[in-house]
Amino acid sequence: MTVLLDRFPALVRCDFDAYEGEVVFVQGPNGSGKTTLLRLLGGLVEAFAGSVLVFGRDPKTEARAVRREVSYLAHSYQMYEELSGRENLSFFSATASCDLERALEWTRRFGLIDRDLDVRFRVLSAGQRKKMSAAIALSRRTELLLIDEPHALLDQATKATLDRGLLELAQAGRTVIIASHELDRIATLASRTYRMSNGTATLMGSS
Amino acid sequence: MVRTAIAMAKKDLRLEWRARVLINQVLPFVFVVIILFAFGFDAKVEILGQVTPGLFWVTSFFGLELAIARSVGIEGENQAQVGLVMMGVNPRGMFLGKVFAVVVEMLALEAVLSVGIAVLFNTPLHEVPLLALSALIADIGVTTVGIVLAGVTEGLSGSLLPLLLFPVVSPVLLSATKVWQYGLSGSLAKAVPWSELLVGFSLIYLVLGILVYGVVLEG
Repeated sequence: MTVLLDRFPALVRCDFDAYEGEVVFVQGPNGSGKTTLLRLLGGLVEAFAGSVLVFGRDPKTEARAVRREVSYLAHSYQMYEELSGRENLSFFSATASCDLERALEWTRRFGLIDRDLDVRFRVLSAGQRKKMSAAIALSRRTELLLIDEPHALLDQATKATLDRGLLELAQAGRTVIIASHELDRIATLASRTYRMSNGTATLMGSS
Repeated sequence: MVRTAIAMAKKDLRLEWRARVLINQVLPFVFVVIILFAFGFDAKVEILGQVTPGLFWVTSFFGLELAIARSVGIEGENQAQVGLVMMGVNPRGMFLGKVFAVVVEMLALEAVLSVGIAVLFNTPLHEVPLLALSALIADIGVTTVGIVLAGVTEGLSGSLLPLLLFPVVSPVLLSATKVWQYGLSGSLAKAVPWSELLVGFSLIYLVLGILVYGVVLEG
């Protein structure tokens, strides 16, 4: 598929696939198209040419049906600054298919304590914010996880916890697609690796 | 949809309560506007009495525009709206929740504003239920259009929202002004056709807003 962002070719004849229960690693330098690929799979951008199917559906024309099966952990926190972490979690559990108990469990696994959940989101450190966003993304009962730079801002212990969590989810049959620069860390998790360069994806290897 | 709308409205009202934008920024602004109007008319009570409905709705429109911009702006915070879209949140529920929150905020503001106008312009408030009901319906009409247009113009020039909003909602503002004019003078019978027009336009805008908001979000 090809994706144009303001006429700029962000993806160019990019071939990509992922199968059930896989952890697929998408690596590449800044601006190579990793995030655009994830956004394309989530229906946030449209293919100019070619076709995209997620669980047999076009994410642009059947966006809501696709997104019910997709969790997206983005660069941005996607949470409200003036709500506490707990209020943010409650809001997303009331409006989206976010499981509040599972989200709270993830926050505990990431080392957040009650006090962290009860202060306003804007007060938290960048790493704590990232943990909260990750907790929401991982708590949704979806079949596909699109994870963009998951380790950015996280400490070593949380990175390890997150890696274990992603592996558990893949072992439970869910598909995980991770875009990251952290080659060494993700390569050990991934069953396949794509290298992105100037908007094209090249399959590097399988394990 | 209802669950989403309630959660969205509660969230928006909670955020407003904490940020106090309405009390600290919009309320002082609308009071400055009505005081300036009063000076502009040389504080002549007979003139102010005649222009009260128009001044009220012009001032309310300024307040509504600020409240709508704020309501849409908080969804841009940390790209929260992208998160909601990606989670497949019901767009109609989101829309109704946002409309409800802005209308509640504006009714509170208009209650204070109408008392301020009554005192400053020496205009007794007759037919309060009619005035309140017409304010509710007009706020719904303006807010539904405003939320949709604010979504369309998001990321573009900030001056586009009032430029687009005012012409579209002018039938609502005009009919609300006429209802207030006849309500304040106690001429209920004359207010009926304008009330019908007000209800008609607001209802059309509400239905259209519910139908198109999902498309706006995707855009």
